[in-house]
Amino acid sequence: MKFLFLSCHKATELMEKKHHLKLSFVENIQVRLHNTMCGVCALYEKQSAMLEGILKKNLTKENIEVIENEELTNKIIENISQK
Amino acid sequence: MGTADKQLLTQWAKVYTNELFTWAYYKTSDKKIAEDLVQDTFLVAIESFEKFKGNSSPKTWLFSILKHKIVDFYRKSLRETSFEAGNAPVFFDENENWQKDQVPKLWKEEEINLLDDEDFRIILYNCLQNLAQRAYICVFATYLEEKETSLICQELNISATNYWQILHRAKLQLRKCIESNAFKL
Repeated sequence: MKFLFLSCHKATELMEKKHHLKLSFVENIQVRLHNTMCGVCALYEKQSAMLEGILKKNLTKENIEVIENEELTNKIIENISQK
Repeated sequence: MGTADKQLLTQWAKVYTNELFTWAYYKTSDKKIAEDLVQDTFLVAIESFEKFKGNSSPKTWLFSILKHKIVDFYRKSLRETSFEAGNAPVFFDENENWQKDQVPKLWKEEEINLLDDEDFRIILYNCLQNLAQRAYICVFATYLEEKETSLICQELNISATNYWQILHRAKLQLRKCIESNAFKL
């Protein structure tokens, strides 16, 4: 039975992994079992899911604003003219 | 290089430098390095201009050069930086339990509502900038580029185990950073 118990470190790592790939049967049980005994990690899992949504929503190509860098543009034009 | 070619390249520099720079900046989180990479991109473009046959758009061509430059940069400089950033916070104790000062706090309903406004986005971007460079690059590739894990590992020259550790750490750090900066009721 002992192999079913996870540390908080391992449990939260699996929770993060779970957002991106399917956990194994045993891993799923390990995480659930850990949560029944550890309120802190159960809370972490909820907040981690929220954070996941925030990252997906905000980190999109549409949200990237083009940064003007006139100095660099001029430098490159200068480089070209010297070739 | 002929005058006509120079004029064309100059034109491209005017049109695409900002976009190339923005991309390089997001991919490295370092302004100086991003500028160098874009300058290098145009150096390659000047040298291999003859080979550009117009099979792709100039923008695609320039971006493909830049992407190679970025991967080169990852290989060269990221390998040497240590895996753990020097002053990174420790989240767990030696028994892998939560450190007392890192235990997640309960987020109140009115706090969660704050996570959706314009002010919050600035906090989020600041928190992302605070990540170690390698972690930032992993987060960027994972969420913004939606790249496959295996591809990210290959580009960054890290193992899958490493990748999950980095992402785990990054999420722990972001969670904490948001909690301490967004909720000041």
